[in-house]
Amino acid sequence: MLADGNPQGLQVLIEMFAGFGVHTPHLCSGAETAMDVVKNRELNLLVIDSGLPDSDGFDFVKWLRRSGVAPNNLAPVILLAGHTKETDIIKGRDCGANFVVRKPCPPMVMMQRILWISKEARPFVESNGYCGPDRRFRAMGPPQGTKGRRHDDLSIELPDATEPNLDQTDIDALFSPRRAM
Amino acid sequence: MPDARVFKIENRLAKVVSLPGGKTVAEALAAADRRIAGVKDECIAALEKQSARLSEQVAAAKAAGGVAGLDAIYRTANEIFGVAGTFGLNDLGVGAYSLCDIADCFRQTGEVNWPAIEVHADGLRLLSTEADPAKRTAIVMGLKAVAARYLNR
Repeated sequence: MLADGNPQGLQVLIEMFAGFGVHTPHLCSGAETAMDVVKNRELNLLVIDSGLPDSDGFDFVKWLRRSGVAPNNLAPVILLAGHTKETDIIKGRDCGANFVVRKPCPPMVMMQRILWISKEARPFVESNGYCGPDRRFRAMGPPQGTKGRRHDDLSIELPDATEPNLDQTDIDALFSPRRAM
Repeated sequence: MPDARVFKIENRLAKVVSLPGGKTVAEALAAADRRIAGVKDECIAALEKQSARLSEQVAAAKAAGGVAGLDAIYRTANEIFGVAGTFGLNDLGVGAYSLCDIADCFRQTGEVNWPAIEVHADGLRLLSTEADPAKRTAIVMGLKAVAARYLNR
């Protein structure tokens, strides 16, 4: 689904995706029509302009993630941002989009984001304050000295060994090639 | 909801991307560039109209007074910014971005300096039609200097 309130902006997206081989995308010029499409069609990718005329794109993505309209509420979202106010940066981080891409977005950048999303394995997070793909692209563990909020959070700091270290034979065994049977 | 729920989801886009057939990435990018180039003239003509409309919006907003009219000005400038860069009209994009900056700044402060808005609208109208790069650069530098007076306060 492609959503942009500006006819020329939408036209550029249509041509870009037609070039990619997507010839019949769902087109929306506002958040209201986009909500209708979300409720009635199964979507593989949503590309949303942050400046929709009837509701900004950040709020639309926030609605989508909390909408409960499966499976679209979990669908990947690329949000296109034009002029970015300071408050929009926070909204972009917290709305639940997979990527926020600054305009102008050339085909190369769009393709890179699509390929990234198609390969990514970020889990989905649902909490009081946030609903969307995990905002941590790399699991670096909780900040030093804190416990972390998730049951599987592990600190990047290693504790002291509790068992004897591997001896050299064990280490050699890890590296020595073996015939696959 | 007491705690965060973290779970794996099916990557449906991966399934679509991995379907057999279709185009290579290079073919897809070349086709996209070709198709976007095909609507360039149409979009540039629309940008010129938007730049002209901006002057009308500024005149109407100034006559009405207050900050309410700045929303429409901000929206139009943002639309110009979003499309101009796609077609290499970077000076027009920079000018539009500068107008977004000051329109947003005036919305926050509640005090509008209309001459600063007007000079931006005039500048964008010139940038949308000016062919000489040196003149375009001079216009952009001027707009940036105007904007800097309000943004760096």
